Amino acid sequence: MKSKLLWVLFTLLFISCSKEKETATDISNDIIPANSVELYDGDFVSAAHPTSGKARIVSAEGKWYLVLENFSTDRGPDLKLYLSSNRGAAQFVNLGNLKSTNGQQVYAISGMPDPKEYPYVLIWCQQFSVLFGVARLS
Amino acid sequence: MKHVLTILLVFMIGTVQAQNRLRPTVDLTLAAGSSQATFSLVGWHQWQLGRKQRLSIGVGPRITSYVGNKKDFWTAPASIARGSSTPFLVVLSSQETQNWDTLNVQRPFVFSMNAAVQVAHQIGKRFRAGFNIDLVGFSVGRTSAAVFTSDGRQETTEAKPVPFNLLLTGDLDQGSLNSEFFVQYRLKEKWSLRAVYQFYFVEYKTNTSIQQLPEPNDRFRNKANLLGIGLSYSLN
Repeated sequence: MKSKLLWVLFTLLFISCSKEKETATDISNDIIPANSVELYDGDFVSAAHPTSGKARIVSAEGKWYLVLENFSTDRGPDLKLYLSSNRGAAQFVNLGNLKSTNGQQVYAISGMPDPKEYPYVLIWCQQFSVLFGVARLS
Repeated sequence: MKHVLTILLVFMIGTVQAQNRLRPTVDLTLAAGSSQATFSLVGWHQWQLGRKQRLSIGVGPRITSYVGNKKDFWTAPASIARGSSTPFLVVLSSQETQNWDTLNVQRPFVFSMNAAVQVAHQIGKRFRAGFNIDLVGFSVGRTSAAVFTSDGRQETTEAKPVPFNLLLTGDLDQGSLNSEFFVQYRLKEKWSLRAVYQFYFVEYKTNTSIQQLPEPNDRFRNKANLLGIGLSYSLN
């Protein structure tokens, strides 16, 4: 009886612990929407970690997408993709977890934020506030 | 930090051994909830009351260590977060959720040291149930990266634990305060096993008043609901 009680309590204690998802090292190429029109682009430069490739904002059927091409960065914890007002993520729009540290990737942008207000694309480690790489859109 | 811990442990041991007529105990608890957990250690002076001495009231120092991962903290001051900031009435007042902003603290870690009180009742020969709560103390902890969200706009910032803890009822409380409902089962003469529901009230503050509306605010709160187990050791 005592051992069963202990087992139940230990299960309750640790049931909520879960491991954070890590960024994949490679994915199959995302598909760029058909008939898309390029609106802005910029090249990635390295910050705390080597980062390269191109960021493009494209429009297709009234929706905006951020496309990463020939993209590469280091692996890291909790990597996010931000549209940001500056290189320090003072104000930003979070496009979600970075899908992969390599390859072509497509992210839907909701709300069509003003690129003049958010001209930087950041590869950002949210947990430790570290900038991996940045592209300035123009 | 090391000196503070040493002083506190000496105080706790001294406290529980001070008087033989009391029922001194040391309780240790591990509790966990969604992406967060606590470890707490407390030494109780306990006075046994009543003809059968089933009721006990205790006081003692408690240390609680809290750790979490990407936890949301909400606007803390009762003047913003609740419809009333009058002591006691604040508990029943409306939640002004339209005034609440969110601070997602990435790696919260808080070490709080508080004076606490406890009320417990003996149930039969082996069971005992009760409630305890922190009253006043202080906290130290890790400064963490944080994401502030207000009306869909997000900002990156830093936050650190609120240093001073004080129980003032409901959302008027400040800092990091622990409270528990517990049932314990006596395993041996001196040892008891505890099942605990823990409510840990933990606060972080930003370096500047990052929330501007409806009034400037730098203090954010997480109310952690946790389940735990623990041991209680009787010193006499």
